Amino acid sequence: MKHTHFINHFLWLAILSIFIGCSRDPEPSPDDSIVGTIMSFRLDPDSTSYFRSYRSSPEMGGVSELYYGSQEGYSDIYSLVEITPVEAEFFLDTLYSADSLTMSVFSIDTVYFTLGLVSQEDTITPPELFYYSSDADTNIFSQSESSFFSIDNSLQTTSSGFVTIVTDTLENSSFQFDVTEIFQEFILDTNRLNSFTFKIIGDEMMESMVAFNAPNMEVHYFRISENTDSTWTDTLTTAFSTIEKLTIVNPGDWVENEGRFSIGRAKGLKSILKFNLDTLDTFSDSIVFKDADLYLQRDGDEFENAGYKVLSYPLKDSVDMNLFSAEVMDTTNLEFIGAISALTDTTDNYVILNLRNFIAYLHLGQLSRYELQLSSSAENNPFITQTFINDDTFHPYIKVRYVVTK
Amino acid sequence: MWLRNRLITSIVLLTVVFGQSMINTYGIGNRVGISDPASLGTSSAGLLPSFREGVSLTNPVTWNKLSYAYISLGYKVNHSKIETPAIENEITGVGKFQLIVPMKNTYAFGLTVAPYLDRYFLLQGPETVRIDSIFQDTLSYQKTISGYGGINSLSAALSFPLTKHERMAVSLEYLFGSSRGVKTLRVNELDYIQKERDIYDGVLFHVYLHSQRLKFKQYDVGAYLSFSSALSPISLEQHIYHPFEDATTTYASDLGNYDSWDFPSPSLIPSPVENNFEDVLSPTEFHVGLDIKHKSVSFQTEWQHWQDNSNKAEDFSIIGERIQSSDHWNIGLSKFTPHLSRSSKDIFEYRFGLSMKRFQISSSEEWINEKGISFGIGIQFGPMKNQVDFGYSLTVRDGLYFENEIIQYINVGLSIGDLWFVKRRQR
Repeated sequence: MKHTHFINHFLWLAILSIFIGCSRDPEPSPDDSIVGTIMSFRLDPDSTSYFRSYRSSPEMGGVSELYYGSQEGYSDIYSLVEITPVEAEFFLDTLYSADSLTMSVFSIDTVYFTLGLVSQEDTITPPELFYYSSDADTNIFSQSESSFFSIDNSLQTTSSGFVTIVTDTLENSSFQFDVTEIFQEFILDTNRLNSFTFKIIGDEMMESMVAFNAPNMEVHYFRISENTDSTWTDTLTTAFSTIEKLTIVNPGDWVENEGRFSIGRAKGLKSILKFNLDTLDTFSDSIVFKDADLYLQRDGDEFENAGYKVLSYPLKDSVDMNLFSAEVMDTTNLEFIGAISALTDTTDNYVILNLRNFIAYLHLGQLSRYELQLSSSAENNPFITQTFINDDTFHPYIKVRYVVTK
Repeated sequence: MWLRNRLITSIVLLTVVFGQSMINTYGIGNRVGISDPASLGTSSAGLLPSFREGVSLTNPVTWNKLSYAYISLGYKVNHSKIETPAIENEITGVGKFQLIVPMKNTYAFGLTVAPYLDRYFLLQGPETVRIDSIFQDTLSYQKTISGYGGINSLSAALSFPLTKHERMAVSLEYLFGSSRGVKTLRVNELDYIQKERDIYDGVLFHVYLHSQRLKFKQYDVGAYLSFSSALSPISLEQHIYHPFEDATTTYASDLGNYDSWDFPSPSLIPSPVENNFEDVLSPTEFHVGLDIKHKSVSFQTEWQHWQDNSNKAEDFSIIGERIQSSDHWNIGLSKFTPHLSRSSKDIFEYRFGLSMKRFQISSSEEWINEKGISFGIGIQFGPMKNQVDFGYSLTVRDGLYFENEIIQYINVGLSIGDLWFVKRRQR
């Protein structure tokens, strides 16, 4: 029996050893040209290409700071903020306790509206604070819906009164507005409304722009309670913080320079780039684009605006440049496949955009148009305008590299 | 439990197939050679009897001489080796499955499933470095092409007598199967892959003749002949998939597969390109052989000519060439078990053979030549004359890109007999 067992094991090992010997070594290819290759070419603009700026409404959403005042090229800079109670809904009323024996009466002490100052300079001109509207009008905080040209300023009502500069223990300064009257007039009686919008605007004579953050409101009030035996008073505070915010700016004029195109959010500047990409139609289907880089050169100092982020989206519809003006929203229909972005590079002042998705999906028929829209990222300072060169010293170009597998 | 575990292990291993040869890159692949171990032992192309006295498992005209119905299963191991450069490959798998039913030593029919054509290959070009003048950087790239799969055949054959000394058999062979081709260009450590799937379909017919009329002194001379042609030449349905960049991910299973990590996105590519081609391979085969027998010893010689009457197969070859024709010639010697012997020594059959084969390539005057030597043994057991066969062949192939490719074939077969079509006595 033991022998049989041993023989069985031996036989199985022998059979297994046949399989374990299986191998797969590649054989050298007899002809190196039988499969595929890598090709590169550079695409320069031709007579059908164009690189042009156009204007749309300023886009000021997405920034962490808010602004008021004015600065070179921009005026009427102001901000809108919508605040809401930090914890639960807050409204004042006469309440009864559970046993119905105690009655509480509320009394407002003071209400402060506070703006944190980004710069700690002493000479900052304080803004004016206006109560704007109550609840629900959230469209005004959408940068695609709202702009200097579309804001309804008739909603603006009473301005606040006294403003002081307060400094906390960490030496952070802020403006503190006494908005007790505004609170009592517009907010106290609007029971159960959740949010309220304020407008922060600089003096008409201001020639500088002030950045601020963290707008909030504090309500200090008393609760006087009494029952059949006694009367007592509690001192209480509730806070409101910002849920929506947007800076509005009058973008002023813009003169397009010959041989230049620009992007900038506060100016509402975008650019359309078009190369002649007919050559893509001549390529075989059996290719994969490995690289496709768009080279742009910045106008200006090499180290200025380092890290400025440029966005690029393929266009879906044809573009009539005459349709755009400072008063018209940008209605260009964009494709989100193939969207790309790039940071400015201080080396040789280049911005290199990776166009691989754009080129590949054009070739695959997923995109229908050759134009690209350039715009400034929300991460950039909105007041910086970035200009690119398109003249005899430099024309934008694309370098393409693809792999042919057939 | 022990047996079950071993069976599971074996099934898993059976599915692991590694093996390729440069010769499989010609046309739509290379025709699989001898697939039964008895024929392998005599280097026969299958026409002449080698399984048992007067019987070849591959030639249906001989099947009436079997005493019992047989189920036969073959298993093969092919090993090839090139010394310079050092390349070693192996392929293992099921060689053949057959059901053969003789009827009263007069008629016979059978069904056979066997591989017909192999398309296993893996070619790799040298790693090349060049400067890209447009991007002003350096590119290193390497090309690899591989193929998998091939064509299988399902054939049904019927054998019947013509005269007292002559017999005939006819067979219809349905060819089916698919193969995949993978082209990879590795550029700076990133793979660019294009895959292709080919589906084959065709029908061949075969006619087999045998005459036992001749006798020379004390020698019985059996003459065998067969002819086959395409009833419906092999057609090809080709699906070419869009190439992609195989992204390097942390998941090894993603490598080589086209998934959402890769570029371009699988959801944004066009459907595979589908092409249909008729008459891709139209084989004609002529086969003649003599079996000179004295007592239980046979001396055999055989010549086979195979030809592709279509000239389209090179369009589907990775290297743009096809095998236009081939000739096989062999001599063999067999010592069979005496028919009615009960001696324990007479359970063995011995086989020996020598062969030469040459392939003519479509675009070249050069030939690919093979020379081989083979041995085999058969062991009968049980009252139904069950049989285990072992065949071994050593072949040297010249004329391909590298000289002296040494190929070893090992083929193992098991044939289990049973009594069919026998009128039972009523109790």
